[in-house]
Formats: sequence, C-alpha cells, structure tokens
Amino acid sequence: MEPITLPVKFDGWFKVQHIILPTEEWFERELAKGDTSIIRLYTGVYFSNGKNIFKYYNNEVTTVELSEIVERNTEGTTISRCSQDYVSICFLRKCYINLCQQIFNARAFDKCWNKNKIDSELIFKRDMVWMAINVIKYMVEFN
Amino acid sequence: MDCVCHNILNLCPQDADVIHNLKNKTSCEYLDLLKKVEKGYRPDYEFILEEISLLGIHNKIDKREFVLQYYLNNPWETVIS
Repeated sequence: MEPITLPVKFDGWFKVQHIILPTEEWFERELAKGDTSIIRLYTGVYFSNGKNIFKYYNNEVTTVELSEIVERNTEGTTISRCSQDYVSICFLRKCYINLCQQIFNARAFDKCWNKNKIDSELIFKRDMVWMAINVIKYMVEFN
Repeated sequence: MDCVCHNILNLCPQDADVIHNLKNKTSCEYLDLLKKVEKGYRPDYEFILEEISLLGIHNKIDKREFVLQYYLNNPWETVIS
C-alpha cells in the first residue's frame, strides 16, 4: 500500500475516508465476459482509471464527481469505503521546537548562564506545550 | 477538581492499569492546570512534568511500582494550610 500525505493546515482530529474502487481494466475484463460477468450483480458499478471516476449504468459509461461516491450508499455497488481517524499535532511540535530554540538562543554560549537569566515566560510556554503534546497523546490513546 | 486516583485500594493492580490510571490522572491534572492558568494563576506544575517524564521512562526504572504508586496517589498541587 502506498503511503498517503494528508495536506493539513492546522492541528486537530481528522476523520479520513478511504474509498476503494475497481480499476478500468477490471471493468473492461468483466464487461467482456458477457452473461457470466459479475457486473450484473451490482446495482451500481463504479470504477476508476486513477484520474477520473466512472459509472456504468444502462450500458453507458459516464463520468461522476467524487461527491457522488462519498454520499452514495455503498450497498450493492463496487464502492468500498472505510473511515479512519487521524490526529495531527505537527504544528504544536513545531511550536515546541521553536520555543526550545528561542531558549537556546537566549542562553547562547554564555559561561555564566544560569536558569534565572532565561526569560521565565519562555520556559513556562515551553513546559505548557510539552505537557499539551503528551496529554494529547494519552487522550488519543484512550480515544 | 480531585484528580487523585486511589489505585492503592487495588491489591494487585496490573502494570498496564497503573500506567493507564496515571495517564488519566496526568491528563486530568493538566486540564486543571490550564483552567488555573486561564484565570491568571501560576501554580507550581513541576509534579505534572515529573509524571509525564515518568510515563516516558517507566519501563526503564527499577522498583517502578513504588514510584508509580507515589505519583498515582498524590495530588499535583499541595495545599498548604
């Protein structure tokens, strides 16, 4: 199975629907079988060539929009659908790294550095974000 | 908010249960801390940081059951009267 990249612009809990359709080759092969074809068992025959989605109805092949596939009741059709939850905290992680970087930059290579010298507000923010990242992980674990 | 898990009542708690309960307690305490921060307070949250660190390394330390029970049965904020 090929890995997928989810284009998320913000962190959150996402429900992703995976739609699996037969290929165009499968459709042509089944159509060529005539009466023994499995196609006649379906009330809705949908297939894809990887770019477009097609519907076979009344001996006619038409292009359909993705929205139809998403909303369509899959029973009796060639559509397989499953949904999966994904949680993204990549922006929160980035925020944590940025805060660590800021603290590091404030510290620099000063030999006389001590904890009190660093902006305590930055440390507080870093700790809050670190706690949030971990608590989110626990919460996702518990669903 | 009372986030203390009285897990000590279970005589032989499974390790996974203890971890689960500690994660639950930590989550609850963090939400408690957030509410206080929103209201302008700055309570000492060191105990929550320790709990999270412990959850990250709990399987690498000896006599962890005692350490886990300590964090499980003590509140994050000590009220000084």
